[in-house]
Amino acid sequence: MMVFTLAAHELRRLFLSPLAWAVLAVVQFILAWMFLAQIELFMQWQPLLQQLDSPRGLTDIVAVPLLGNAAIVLLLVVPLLTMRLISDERRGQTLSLLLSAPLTMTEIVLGKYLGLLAFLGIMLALIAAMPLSLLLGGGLDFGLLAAGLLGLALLLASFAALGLFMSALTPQPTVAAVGTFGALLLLWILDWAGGLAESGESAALRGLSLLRHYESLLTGAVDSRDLAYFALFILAFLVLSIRRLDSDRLQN
Amino acid sequence: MTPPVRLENLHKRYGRIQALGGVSLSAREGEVLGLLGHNGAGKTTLMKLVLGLTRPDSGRVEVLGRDPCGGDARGLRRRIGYLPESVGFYGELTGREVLRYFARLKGIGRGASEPLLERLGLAPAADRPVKGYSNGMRQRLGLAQALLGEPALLLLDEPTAGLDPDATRDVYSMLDELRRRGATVILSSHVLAGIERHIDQAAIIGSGRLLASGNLEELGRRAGLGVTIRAGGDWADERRLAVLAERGALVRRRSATEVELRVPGAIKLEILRVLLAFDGIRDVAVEPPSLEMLYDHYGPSTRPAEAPCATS
Repeated sequence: MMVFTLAAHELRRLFLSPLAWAVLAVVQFILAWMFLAQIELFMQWQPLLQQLDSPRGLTDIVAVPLLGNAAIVLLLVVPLLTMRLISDERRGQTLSLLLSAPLTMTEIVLGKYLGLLAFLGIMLALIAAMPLSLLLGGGLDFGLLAAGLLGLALLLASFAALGLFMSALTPQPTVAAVGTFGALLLLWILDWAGGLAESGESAALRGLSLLRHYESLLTGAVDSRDLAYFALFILAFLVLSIRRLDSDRLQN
Repeated sequence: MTPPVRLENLHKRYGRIQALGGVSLSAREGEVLGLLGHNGAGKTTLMKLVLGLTRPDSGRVEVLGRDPCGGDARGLRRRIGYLPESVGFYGELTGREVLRYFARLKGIGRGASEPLLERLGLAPAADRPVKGYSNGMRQRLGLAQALLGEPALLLLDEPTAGLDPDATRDVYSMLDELRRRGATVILSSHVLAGIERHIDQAAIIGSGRLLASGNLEELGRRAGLGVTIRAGGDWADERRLAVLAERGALVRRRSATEVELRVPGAIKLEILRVLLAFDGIRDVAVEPPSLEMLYDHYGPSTRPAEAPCATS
């Protein structure tokens, strides 16, 4: 129950800050622009697509690229939202009150995490509304769209977990943001490095890549290995955040 | 009856820094215990140990009959109010929202915050964002959150820091009220003169060591500081002062009509008899040693030199 009190508080604080509103507006604007560009492309390709035996549909040409682009935009934006989660509490000297409240470290971390997830959920719903609006003039492959949205949801949850951990490491929100962005970018580059050769190490690096697992879901294939990867990724960073906060409490 | 707070031979180090070195202390129910010491003496560490925010390296902490780091830490913390030394709040929220949030975290109904806002004089500003509050208002808000749920134990780290004289007086009267209600209060303060009349026991800490503890009378007796006698009346005759000095009193003329005598406890009655035998004495006041005098006696001058300062 306390987890939800903390989560509601976190969500409310997010909406009280201009940063959250700016992030929502900018992300929506950029993605709407990309979405309209993809629709334009689809319109141009339509005469050619009609000549094919099994042409790619609206979901393939408009929705999936939109979700792919959303991942890149959100990789840049999520660190700005996660940076303040714990480091701001530390900097604003509110952490001591929170730690002395009748809460466990797990509740504090989960509350903050769920609060941010609720905000990211709103963002995801706004992104999902774009491809769903295509239903007004055409049909959608709901299976493919659902797999893509599931992938984006898991990716955002992973970004948030890593960002939360970085925020627990430092009292400086900007350092947390840069750290999160760097770590996420590294996971991106891991995928590139993994693609250069076919050695065992390369396969391992590809296996660690967030994007590789996300791309798999974007093809519509819901593989339990991808789901397990995201679940383990999120769990690992949440546990690390709890451990970090707990050791901080005991040491300082 | 088991005291609400019992600390036995506590040791705590932060790396190479010794924050506490063998502190044993207890606070009884309905008692106000003042923790006195220089910055870095270990007062805040002691409070954190009582709260269960940190564990001792060795020794035992028992708070309201339980281990604060044990299984039922949540239940225990509901019964403890804490005001940290540097208290911060979410600037974008109003005072009322902040208090309601902490009330919910303590599992208390939101209605509990309203009387506290009134009591601490924050009601007129309750719907203003906290970022616009003065230091004193923030401190009062901190005190209000510590008082949520009528805690059995209150830990107040510098509760009057940043407060104006009126607000300071309000805090002290609230302390007296809490004491009457049976709550145990542990507070640290550098304003010795301010807390003197509001504490039952003092614990003087220096460099992580307990230098002295007990009620003020006990501490005064042990220190052998005696009493201060102020006598008002006709002090034109210098020979009277000489007589008192001869008997062992340390004499200081404060004005033509008032003299202050520092008298060891053993000769207190004898000096009083001599004093009252003088003609023209209109007023006599006997004062035990002040907290400042006790702190000067037990504290800085006898602080162990080898122990490094702790971060508290």
